[in-house]
Amino acid sequence: MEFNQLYYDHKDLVYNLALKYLQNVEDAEEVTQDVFVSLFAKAEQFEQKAQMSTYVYRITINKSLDFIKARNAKKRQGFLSSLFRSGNQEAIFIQDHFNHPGVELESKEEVSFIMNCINQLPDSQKTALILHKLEDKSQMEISEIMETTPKAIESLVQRAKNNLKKIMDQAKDK
Amino acid sequence: MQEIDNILDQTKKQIKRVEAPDYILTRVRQEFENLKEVATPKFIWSAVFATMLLLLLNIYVIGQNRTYTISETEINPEMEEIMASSSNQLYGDE
Repeated sequence: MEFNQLYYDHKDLVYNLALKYLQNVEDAEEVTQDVFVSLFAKAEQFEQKAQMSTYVYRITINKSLDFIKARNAKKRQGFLSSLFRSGNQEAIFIQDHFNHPGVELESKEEVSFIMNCINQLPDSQKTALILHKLEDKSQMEISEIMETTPKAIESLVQRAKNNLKKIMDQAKDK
Repeated sequence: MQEIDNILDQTKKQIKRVEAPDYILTRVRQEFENLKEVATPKFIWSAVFATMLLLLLNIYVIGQNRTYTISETEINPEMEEIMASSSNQLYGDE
């Protein structure tokens, strides 16, 4: 498959999904780059378009989750070093970090709050919820991407919604 | 739970789809070419050759140190003899 065609066929899917996980332009660009390097390396293995699309979703989700883990580890390290310094740098970092080009200024605070709550869910629940509620994927499609059964996806989405409610209530109480 | 569904539907509407910038493709191509360069047989052979050279150099240096240690122990008895005779001389003068 031609590299340019592969890029133009999937670039918006990868970039927008990465943005939903990371909510930051620079981070999403980095993940998009990583995803396409992996795709170019394995392009010859995929002949069917449907198979390719599932793989694109899977690899974007994995790369985004890995990126979040690495970012959190860096944040923890930063927090430890900030213990020896004064100021409220952690709070400033979170507030400044939200930079989604698809969210208008007046909705920024609201979307940032909800995405921050979604980010606190376990990885599988977060993925099921993002794909089902924000990407409009059916349970069947999600089950193919996450390599599980549609019944398991239904249960994951339900648990994600319950947990999200708890997280949002706790955050509002603070 | 309807409340959460409504919030998520509202969030979905608030997040507009955006177009990925084309310059990412240039960056991807560059990184992919770099990776391909690293994976060529020429590069792998030169890496193997460099490792072997380093290994041989290490063996040579360790070998040199051992020879020095052995020759040092061979000299020691002679040195002790000289030291003993010189100290005897000193005591003899007294």
